Amino acid sequence: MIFIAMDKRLDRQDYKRMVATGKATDAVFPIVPYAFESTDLMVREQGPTKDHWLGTDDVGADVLCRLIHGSRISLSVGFVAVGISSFIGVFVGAILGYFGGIVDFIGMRFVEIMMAIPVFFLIITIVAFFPRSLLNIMIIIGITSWTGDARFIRAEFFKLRGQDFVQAARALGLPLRSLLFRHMLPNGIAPVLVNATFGIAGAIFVEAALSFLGFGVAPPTPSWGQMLSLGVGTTGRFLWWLSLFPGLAIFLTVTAYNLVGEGLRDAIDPRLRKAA
Amino acid sequence: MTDKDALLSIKDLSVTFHTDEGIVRAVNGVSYDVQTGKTLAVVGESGCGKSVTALSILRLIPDPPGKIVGGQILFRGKDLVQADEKYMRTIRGNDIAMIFQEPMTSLNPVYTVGEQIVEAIEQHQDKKGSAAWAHAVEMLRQVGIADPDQRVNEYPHQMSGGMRQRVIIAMSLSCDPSLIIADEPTTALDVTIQAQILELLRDLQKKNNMSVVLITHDLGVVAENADDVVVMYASKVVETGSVTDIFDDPLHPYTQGLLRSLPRVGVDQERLDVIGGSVPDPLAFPEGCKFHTRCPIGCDDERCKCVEPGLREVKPARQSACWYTDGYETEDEFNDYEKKYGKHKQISG
Amino acid sequence: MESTNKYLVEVEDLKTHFPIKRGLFSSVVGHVKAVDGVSFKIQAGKTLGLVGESGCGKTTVGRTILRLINATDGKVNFDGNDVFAVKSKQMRKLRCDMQLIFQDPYSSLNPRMTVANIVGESLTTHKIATGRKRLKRVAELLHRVGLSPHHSSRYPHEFSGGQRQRIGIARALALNPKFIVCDEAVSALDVSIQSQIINLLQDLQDEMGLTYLFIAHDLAVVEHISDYVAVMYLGKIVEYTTSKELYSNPLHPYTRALMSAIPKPDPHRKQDRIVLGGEVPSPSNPPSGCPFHPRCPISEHRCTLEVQQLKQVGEGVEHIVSCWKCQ
Repeated sequence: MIFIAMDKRLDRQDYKRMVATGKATDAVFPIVPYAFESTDLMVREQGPTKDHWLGTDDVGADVLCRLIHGSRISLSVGFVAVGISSFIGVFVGAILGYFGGIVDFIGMRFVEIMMAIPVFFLIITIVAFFPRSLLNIMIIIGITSWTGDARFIRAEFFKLRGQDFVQAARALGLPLRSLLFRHMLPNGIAPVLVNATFGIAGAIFVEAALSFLGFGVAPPTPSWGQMLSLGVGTTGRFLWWLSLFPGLAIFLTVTAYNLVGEGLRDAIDPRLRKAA
Repeated sequence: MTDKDALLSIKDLSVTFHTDEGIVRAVNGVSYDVQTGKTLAVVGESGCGKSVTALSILRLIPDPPGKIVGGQILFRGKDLVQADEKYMRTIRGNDIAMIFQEPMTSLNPVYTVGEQIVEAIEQHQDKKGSAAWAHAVEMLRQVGIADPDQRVNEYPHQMSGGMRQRVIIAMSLSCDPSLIIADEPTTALDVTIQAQILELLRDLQKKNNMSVVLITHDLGVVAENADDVVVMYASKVVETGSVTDIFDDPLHPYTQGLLRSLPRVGVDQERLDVIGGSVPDPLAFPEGCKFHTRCPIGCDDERCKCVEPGLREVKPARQSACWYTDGYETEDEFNDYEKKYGKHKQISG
Repeated sequence: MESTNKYLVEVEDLKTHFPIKRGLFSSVVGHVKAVDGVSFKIQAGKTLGLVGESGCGKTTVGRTILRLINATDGKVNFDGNDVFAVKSKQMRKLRCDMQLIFQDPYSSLNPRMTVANIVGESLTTHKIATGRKRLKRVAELLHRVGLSPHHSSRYPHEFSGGQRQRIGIARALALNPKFIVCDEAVSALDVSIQSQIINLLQDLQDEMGLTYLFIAHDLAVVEHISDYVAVMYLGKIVEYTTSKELYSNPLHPYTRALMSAIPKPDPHRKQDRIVLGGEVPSPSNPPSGCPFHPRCPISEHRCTLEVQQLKQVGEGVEHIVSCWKCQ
């Protein structure tokens, strides 16, 4: 009977025992055979060795394993937070940009108030009131960082409002929602997409910072920011592998998102597609 | 148009652009001459290469992606294509000046008008400081701007389109050039202002005995301002001649088609005569004569479809690039002409 | 609501003023009087040409009639309906009958929509045709304007200026309108393409009984296509008559200057040109009395005092001019 080792609470020893006792005939191990929760106090705070390729942290958990699991947290925070902030930002920006006048005047004051609040402190304050969960953090980051998108979309819509094809759509009697979201938005979305990639990077940073400060996800759930904070070991030594590898992970992820964002922007622009 | 009197002589010029989508041969073997003290109009529609040719005279084509790949531009005997950048800088704005289409973007918005004219003066002439400013004010006066001593301190955005174009003309005249290249100088202006500007150019040309290369797509402007005309289509010259010859007796089917398709005030027409089809894509010029796909004669003719006609002198001082120039119906008629007047002189291939 | 009146479009004393805002609180310091009291009527099936130079207000007139810009004053009657008074639901229905063709073929088509969607979207919105019926109608429209149905899956940037203009015309025709405002529809095109598009517009008018308001600055084109012509200067109409009459007998000094300013493609013609001095004045600060007097070659003191009224000149064909010297 083949056993596929997916359970995050079991580690290699457990699997070996299962094979040995006949509960399974074969096992497929993940590359890193440790559970991110499994601790082994015998090997705590060790640098990279052949058993633990990226070393161990202060409670002996394998860094590589925690890094891999931590990516789920970081990536999902990025997407969800930016998804929420883009949604709000685009909506607000579209209304302000299309109507202009008094609507824009009042709306922009509201946006500016949002921008004046130091977001990070706002997040910390809110986090203090709400139960610490990953979802809450994502939502909070999302609802506090939409102002950039709003301003981009507002500027694009100001520009697009005067374009002939928008006037043509009005002249055809098309409804407002069609004007805003079918005609104007696809033409103005480019800065939002690019901003989204920066937003994902930013969200990852914010989450890392929160976790670093201890306000983010609670251990034992692994998070890159949290791992960064463990760089200073209990004995005051600088455990370089605990800072370098999560930091490298953040760096590579952010770069990858930026490249994806630029590629996406180019891909959706029909003008850049080669003429048929 | 003989070579000897020509102030500027473009011979077999070719310019290509390397773009992401392929090589664009914007100008292909173009030749024409500009006589001293005369106005040469270069007519053609968008994409025919008339502006690129003009920019090449002053070597203003941006080097990637564009490049002059062949031919000569002789100005007072010296080949500008081969000249070095230092020499070109002494020519630009000094012996040869250029006026562009968009008056708003031709002037730097953060400097006053006076500062911009003075910059040109100080660059090319010995006048400096207050002498240069006095000269600038004088130039503004000459182009018909009222209160030039006040206007000289204004910014471009404080002026109307017509006035800005006058300022640009003043700037080009400030160093007393022998040749002005005007690239669609009045297209962006209202009709009544256009009339003012063109009249101004004509007066100044007479006074200073300048040559003008006037690039336009407006045949009316050509008729009233030009002495000689060059008609371009799809990167080539298709016809040349004096202005009266071109309008009275157009030789090339494209010229004929253009003249026929104009709506004329006072002439009753049910429908306008059109040239069918559209200007070919510079990335995909047709084989043979570039006009043949739209030509009433050439669309069925084997020779027109396969072999490109060169520009030839068909009559004295008249050139045309067409196998059936002057309405020759048959090869025999063509040969008879050659027997009588000698071989048609090939200008360029 | 069918109109028994023979005029399809009636414009009465139309005014469109744009406020100029300055200062910290955007207080209104003046008005740009883009359109300042324009009146005309167009019969069904006819073309009215509206000519003038930049700043005269002709584009604003077109868009105000279609209620794309809000009028400050005046009335527009379309097919018996008061365009400014109808509620938005009825306005949407009315819009099917009054359409607009734009000047710039490059900015008038949504660059991210396929031709099929650009032309066919309104059919779905107004519930005229969906699905296969819509595809069929779009193919018909494209064919009618001289394009081929297989162009419908392409994007605007793949087409030339003339072809884009044809797409714009197809879009305007989709709703089967009665009235089309052609806002400088051929001005941005090459000469050889202009004549093609003009012929197309005329053919469509003959086939479908369309009524046009043809806005342009090219007098030769306007004369060719229009039945009546109105000349505008600084927000007002200064002369109005039939096309033939205007070109054989222009009366207002501005019209005469405009006509003589057009370069004619005839090198033999003697140029007895009336060259106007000065610049076009700003519509936010028009001169007193007759707005044309500072540039008028025949102006007198009286011209600075009174604003001129349009009055019929002569007994024959309808020819109104706003110049006391011509009346």
